[in-house]
Amino acid sequence: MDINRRQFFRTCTAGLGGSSLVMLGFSPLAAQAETRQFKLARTTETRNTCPYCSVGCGIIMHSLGDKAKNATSEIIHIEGDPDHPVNRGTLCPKGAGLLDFVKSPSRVKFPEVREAGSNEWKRISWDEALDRVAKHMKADRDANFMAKNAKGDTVNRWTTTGMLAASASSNESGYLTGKVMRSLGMLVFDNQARV
Amino acid sequence: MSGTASDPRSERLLLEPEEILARQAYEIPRVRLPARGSLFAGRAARLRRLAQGHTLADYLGFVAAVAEAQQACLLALSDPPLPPAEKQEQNREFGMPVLNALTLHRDPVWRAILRDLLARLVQLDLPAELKATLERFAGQSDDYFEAQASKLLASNLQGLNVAVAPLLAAALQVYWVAMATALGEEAFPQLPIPNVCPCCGTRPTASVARIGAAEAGYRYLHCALCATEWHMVRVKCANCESTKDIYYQSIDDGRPGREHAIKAECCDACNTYLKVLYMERDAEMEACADDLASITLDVLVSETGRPGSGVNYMLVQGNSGTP
Repeated sequence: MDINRRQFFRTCTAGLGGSSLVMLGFSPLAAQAETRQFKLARTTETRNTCPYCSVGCGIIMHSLGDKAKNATSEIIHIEGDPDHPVNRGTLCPKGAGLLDFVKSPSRVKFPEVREAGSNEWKRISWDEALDRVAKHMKADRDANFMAKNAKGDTVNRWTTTGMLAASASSNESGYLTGKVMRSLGMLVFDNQARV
Repeated sequence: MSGTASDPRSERLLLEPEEILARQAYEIPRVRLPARGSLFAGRAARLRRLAQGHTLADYLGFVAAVAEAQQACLLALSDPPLPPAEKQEQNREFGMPVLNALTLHRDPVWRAILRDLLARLVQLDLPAELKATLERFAGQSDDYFEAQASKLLASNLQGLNVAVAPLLAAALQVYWVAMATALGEEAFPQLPIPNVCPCCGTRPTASVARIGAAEAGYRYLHCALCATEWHMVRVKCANCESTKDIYYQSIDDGRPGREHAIKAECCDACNTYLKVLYMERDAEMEACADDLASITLDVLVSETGRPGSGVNYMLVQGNSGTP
């Protein structure tokens, strides 16, 4: 039974020979010849979340190319995910322009620094960037951390540095952001994924 | 609750602002029944357009003639007898298709539809050999028709007359469409098995990413028998429900891939594919007609060793190939 079913589904040039088309007196020759002129193009559709705001709209990104092989994949189209309960396929004007955001020539793809007094951006490594940020944070925290307020109550707060985390974060990264920053005494921080 | 397929809502492209507000928590229309008055006429018109300059122009033209005859038969038909209400309720209760193609006790009216259909077709200007085949088929006994119908609906090729199977299927399609539209959408709840038709339990021909106010962007599977469409989220294998490693194959015609209106949704988990028709890129598409006319895509994808999971009764494959 299963073997019969599999045959039923198969369509191939050889199979057309035994199909209703041929048995009713029609010719498959032109179609079979035409097939030789074509090749297949491969695309993928990937679900993701729009990175802009805390609404968290679902998107589908269409890309070209075969991830398994060495071909370069390229995003060719981004649209709202019709099945996503938040946006049901719709996108705001910013979200609808996501493809330009992905392909923007001025998009930041690596850490850069503009030294004091300079007007040029200089590319630096991630290690270097994180070290610099950590040093700045420590210097500022050492200088401004407030253990007690004027009345002498323990407050352990650090209000001179703030942080804004991204919207496309998962629940887990939102939780970790809170834990890390609160443990430093930081009060001024926000996470776009908070809703 | 969603309306019937003839609901003017599905014909419109834009919602009024008040409608958007009123439908903030709206549901995706899960089941769309075909429009009884225009299903086959629309299919025929689409086939005639697709036939122009097509390498299978003659065959597409013949299937268009069959679809026109189907529409005429359907319009001439009064509502066929339905299964008893308690039987319908039982199927609903146990998650079975209400008009299950495999178990439904077919009313003899479907054989009258078949004879009517064949009588209409032999009046047309057809090649003599084809006309002779149709006349031979029309002369068969009721028992023969019943046996052939049971084989076709069970996808059993053993002893199935492959040549005339599309005509047999055409009559069964008219019969099932008439029953389904007589019952209405509310009669068909979602099945626990999402890859067969909630009305008759048949596999889909292809899937359609629709346009229109209520269904924009949603993907529906189009039943090979009763043309009922049921919702299935996109980027998900319609055969095994895997969402991993889904990718799309389309015919490289030099245009950017996003503009391809028909793609084969391929699944590595079960090694099958089903076509997706993106109406956003071609609003005139009809699942059965466009599936048939895009057979080149089937040939190319199946040559990579991947069989399709869809069924199109208008082109039944015999068992001449190796099993």
